[in-house]
Formats: sequence, structure tokens, C-alpha cells
Amino acid sequence: MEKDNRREFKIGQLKTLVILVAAIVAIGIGIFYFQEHYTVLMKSTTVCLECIGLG
Amino acid sequence: MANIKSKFKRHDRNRNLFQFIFTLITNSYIVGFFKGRIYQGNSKFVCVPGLNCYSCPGAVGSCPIGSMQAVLGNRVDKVPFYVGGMVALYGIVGGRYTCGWLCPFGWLQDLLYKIKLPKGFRKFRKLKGEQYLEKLRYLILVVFVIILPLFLVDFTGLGSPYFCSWICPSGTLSGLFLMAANKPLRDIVGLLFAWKNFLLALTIIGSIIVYRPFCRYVCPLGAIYGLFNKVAIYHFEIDPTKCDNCQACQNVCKLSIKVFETPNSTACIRCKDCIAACPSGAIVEKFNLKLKEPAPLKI
Repeated sequence: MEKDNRREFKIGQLKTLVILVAAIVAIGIGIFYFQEHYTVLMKSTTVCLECIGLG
Repeated sequence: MANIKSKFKRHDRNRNLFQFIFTLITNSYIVGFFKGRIYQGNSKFVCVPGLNCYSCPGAVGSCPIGSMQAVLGNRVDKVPFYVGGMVALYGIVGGRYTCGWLCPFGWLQDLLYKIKLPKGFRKFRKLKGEQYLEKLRYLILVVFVIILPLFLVDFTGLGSPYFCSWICPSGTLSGLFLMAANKPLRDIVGLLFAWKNFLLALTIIGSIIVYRPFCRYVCPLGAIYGLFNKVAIYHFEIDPTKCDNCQACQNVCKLSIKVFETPNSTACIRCKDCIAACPSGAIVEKFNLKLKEPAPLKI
């Protein structure tokens, strides 16, 4: 029982670490490879007519 | 008892103040409200954690859900690495902490819920079919935020932000601020605007009667963050040596979560009302990778 509990706990810990690293890597890929932040910047600096119900 | 009541009141006031300050920070382009225009500076490439429309005149950051649809509806790079990564980062660090403390639209609903109803009317903790309604936000996330912008494209290959266009009341509210000081925008209102205002009115009235209906049943961002609650670095733990199953946490929770059983439920917005109300201090906030070994189970 205790062994199972520890195993489950370690898996939970690993999941958190993997997601954290994956998120940081994804941000890096998005910025440095795809320049995705420019897409975001371009979209967000023009009035989004769809968002306000005019599109 | 009086001590807990005053502690609870203080906690509520502090949370409101925190939400107000964060809303002010992320919407600090005050000039925009008077001139009827939006901020166009470089800080807008950063996605803010909460649902904060980038068409709000004050917004100095980008809405993650709007940005995600913009990338998915793009002609070429259709995988939202950057936006997805940002959302995952916010989620893995705080889970739904954003919903309870950092989201301006969540704060608005909190304020609306404080409005007292006239005699003869009552507020509801749960709606009929709550378990099905809770799933609606996942459906909205998959259909309106991912599938439609990705596949329903125009002749140039561009997809629209369908969640923003057809559903999001946060955008409608931002639009009202923008239109108030911008006559050319007022001149092009149509049927879609009427539909979105109907949804906004429904959300406002609903928020007075039910606690945070938009967050519970509609918000795709809350749906994503909720999935992180169980694995987030910031989480709740129950100290079994202190908890005496008095259920004070569940009674005070406006979302009726059995905190003593599921402290990291996907529905929990981390408002921390339960912590303030717990008479024995059994609910503990943790900010770690759970590096400590768990205590052996008592058999």
C-alpha cells in the first residue's frame, strides 16, 4: 500500500516536471523558430471587430 | 466563530483588492477609454493569464484564448506553440489560481454576485443538470476555440476567432467601452452585435443569481487551467491529523466542492474561502513539486 502510494506520488511529480519543461520549450520554439509572438502582436494591436461583435 | 467570520471578511476584502489591482495593471492604458482606441505597444505580444480581451481600450497584453484562435486560424503556422506554452506555464504553476485572483472577467462576476436580490428571490448554488453543464466548457474549447478556427477557413485560408465572434461576453463588454468613444465603430453595429449583447446581458443577470456561471459552464480558459489543478505546483493539501470532517469548507464554497475530499478539483478556482473558513487550519496551500515524501497511509 505504502509502495503504491509512493509510486503514484513519483509519477505525479514527474508529470508536473515534464509539463513545466514542455511549456518552456514550446514557448521557446514558438518565439525563436515560428516567430509566433509577431502573429499575436499583429492580431492584438488591431481592433478585433469579431471580438466586439462587429465582425 | 466571530474570529472566523472576521478572518473570512478580511480575506474577501483582500481578494477583491488583489483582483482590482491586477485588473488595473493589465488594463493600464487608461487614455484608450477616453480616446476610443486600443493600445498598440510591444507588450501586447505577452499573453496575460486571464480572459482579458485585447480589444479592451485599456488592455496592455493579449488574451490567451483570442491569441490561440489567431494562431490556429493562421494560413501557415497552425500549431500554437507560444500561446499554448504560455497557457500551460500559467496552468502548471498556478492551476486555476488565475480564475480566482487574476481574471478581470472573473472579478466582474464576483462583484455581480454580491448584489442582493429582492425579497422572494433566491440565489442558486447549483443549477439543475450541473454535471452536464460543467462539461459544456470543454465542448466549447474543442469546437469554438480549436476545430472551427482550424478548419472553417475563408477562401484565403484564414480562420475566424469563432469563440470571440459568437460567444465571448468579455469582448462585447470591452467593445462597449471602445464604441462609447468611437463613432465610426458605432455606425457598423448589426445583428451579431445584438446577439452578443444578449449573451452579455444573460451573463450579467446569471452572475447575480448563480456564482460565476460563465467560469463554470462556458470559459474555455478555465477548462484548460482546471485540468492542471491536480498537477500544478501551487496546490492544496489536507492535513488528515487536523481535519475533523466538519464540512465547513464545503458549506462555504460557492462552487459546493467537497474540499476535504477533493482539494484539487478541476472546478476549484482557488478563491481560498475554504482556507479562511476552516476552523482547524486543515487545508494547507503548497507551492512545491511535492518533493517531500508523503506520510505513510494509516491502515
